[in-house]
Amino acid sequence: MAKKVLMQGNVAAAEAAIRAGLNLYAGYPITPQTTLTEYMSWRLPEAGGQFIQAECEPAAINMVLGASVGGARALTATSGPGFSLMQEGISAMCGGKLPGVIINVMRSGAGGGSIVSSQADYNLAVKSAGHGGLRSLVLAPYSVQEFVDMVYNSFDLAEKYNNPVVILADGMIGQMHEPVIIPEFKTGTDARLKARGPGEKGRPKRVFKDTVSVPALVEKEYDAACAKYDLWQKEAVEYEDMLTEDAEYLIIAFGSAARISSGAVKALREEGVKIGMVRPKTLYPFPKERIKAIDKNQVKAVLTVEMARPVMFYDDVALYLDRDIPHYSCTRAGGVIITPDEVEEAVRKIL
Amino acid sequence: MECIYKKPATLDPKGKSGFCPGCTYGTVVKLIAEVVEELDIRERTMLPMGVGCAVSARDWVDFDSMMSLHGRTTASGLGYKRVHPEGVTIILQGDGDAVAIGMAESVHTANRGEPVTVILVNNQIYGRTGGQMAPTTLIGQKSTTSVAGKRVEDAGYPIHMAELIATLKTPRFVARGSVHNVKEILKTKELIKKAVRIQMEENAYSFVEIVTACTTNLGIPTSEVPSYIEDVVLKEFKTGVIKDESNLN
Amino acid sequence: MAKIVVDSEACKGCGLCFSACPKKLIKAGEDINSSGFNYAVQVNAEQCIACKFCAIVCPDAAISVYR
Repeated sequence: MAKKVLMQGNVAAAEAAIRAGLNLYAGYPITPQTTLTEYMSWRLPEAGGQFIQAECEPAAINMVLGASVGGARALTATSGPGFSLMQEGISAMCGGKLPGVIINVMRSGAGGGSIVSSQADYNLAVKSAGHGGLRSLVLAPYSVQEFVDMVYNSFDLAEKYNNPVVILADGMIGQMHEPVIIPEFKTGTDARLKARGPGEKGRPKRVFKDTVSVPALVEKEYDAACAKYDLWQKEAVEYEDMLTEDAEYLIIAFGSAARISSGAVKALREEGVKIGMVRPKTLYPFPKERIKAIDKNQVKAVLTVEMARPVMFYDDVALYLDRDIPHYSCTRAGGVIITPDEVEEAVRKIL
Repeated sequence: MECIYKKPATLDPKGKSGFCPGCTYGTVVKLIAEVVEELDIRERTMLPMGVGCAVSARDWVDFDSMMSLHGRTTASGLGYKRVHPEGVTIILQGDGDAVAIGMAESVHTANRGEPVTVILVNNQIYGRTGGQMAPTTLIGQKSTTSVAGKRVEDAGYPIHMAELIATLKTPRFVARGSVHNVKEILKTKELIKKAVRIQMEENAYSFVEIVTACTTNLGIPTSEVPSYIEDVVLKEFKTGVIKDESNLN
Repeated sequence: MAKIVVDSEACKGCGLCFSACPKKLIKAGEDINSSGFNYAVQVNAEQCIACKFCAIVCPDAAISVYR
């Protein structure tokens, strides 16, 4: 029986990446990701991988891109401002069908913003992988264990779909300490890397392109991407239901907002309120069918909880939620962390 | 009769050179291909290409290449090399990619001593996009963004990238060559070969800046470009070995 | 005896070889290739000294030299 260890989210996630066969990490220190980069700086070389403290975020994402062209498992981590800087690189990786993992330990505010946790990069991560309209596969952990598990699986996922995977970890998830089980080292993770060595004499050349230039061919690439996203919608959606079977009220939330709301759900259940929560784990592909399936004959109202203003996640829930179900929003923003009491109060208002 | 010179086998026999007629960027790519052939490293070679005219090499060389994002070529190139240290990574960039948008990456790749070889083709213009001013455009030189001639007050002096890189302690070999006549072509080929050997044998960073000129955007006949380079451009950018701390002779 | 062979499809008629040849044996030919360039042709090949200057300066690697 594996032992639980008390670890910080960032550090546990870094260790999980290393055990998933990470070959290269490139990152620039930025709060609240910094402890992840610091841990990587000594632990990854110890495990035989390449660590680079990049000169800036555009350099970091491009180092990941280059390593991925070479078939390696590559990771970068950042926060909001750095995530903005990486958009071009993520776009290129999508266009070039390159696997890779990008962790955004979300802070808050625009520009330099505040270093405290929020969920303000939802649109940036989910709506488009940078310019050009392609998509990353986006995961949102709500605990240190889930952060570990998602990172651990993200490289397989990225390679399965030849696509970047973005892990939107709220700053809190990166910073907090929880007991966690760290998985064992994976084996056989270097097939892609080995396939891109020098190879046989006279072999055909390999040409990496992030794009083609003829419009008709670009359109074909987009069509192939659409087919990929349809496949994700069919097979890659993940969410968690908490006490939803008999629920008359539902909270919908992801990440730390869900974690905090679960406290309100438990407290209200103790008072006899039939309340549950639907918690998306994949933000893209969005759990459309699960939201559509919310039955207006059973559910009297839905409260979407998120730490961002103006709302973003709420709008995606609204897109699929039956219009006859009253839909409310509960938010804090700018690094102000919502409390279980505030969520409880918001629920009481709609009962 | 014996064939004493031909196109290297490392240029794709079915491939076409995408450079403009008379553009000696093509000569640079040809020299790189000859060096790859002579060192017998075809299967190990990776050519990251910057955004700009460099990409014209893609369909012409018969070894691995990768497109990059503007200015980030040294970053993606070194990322590849880090995971394939057995490879030989020759990074081909122009003056926009390496000296403007990619300045940070150029300097930090050199400063960390990443074991790659950077070939910077300095044609003092942004050729591919139609002739805008570059950081290496000469004072008084006309371009589409300096229609009356580049002025120091607007844009500063041309950046001497080879000298800038050579101020860093880590780089092992820094040189500048040109390809405007037979003698210089042969000298520059040796610079490229030495730079690549330094990557291979000493696992160190090397840099060769190569002066060319954009025949298309200069608006002068191709036949006059070699003397333009000799009489004007090389007065600004001096050829020669600027720094050599290698153990190769 | 020496001569050059020009790959007519690779040649772009840029003329760098015209000036490079110390014997001035190369000029733009009458025919055009599929790209529309008047590709280079060698005249009076018997005067060729196989110096390789033309092939060395050619940016398109379009010239082979024989001796």
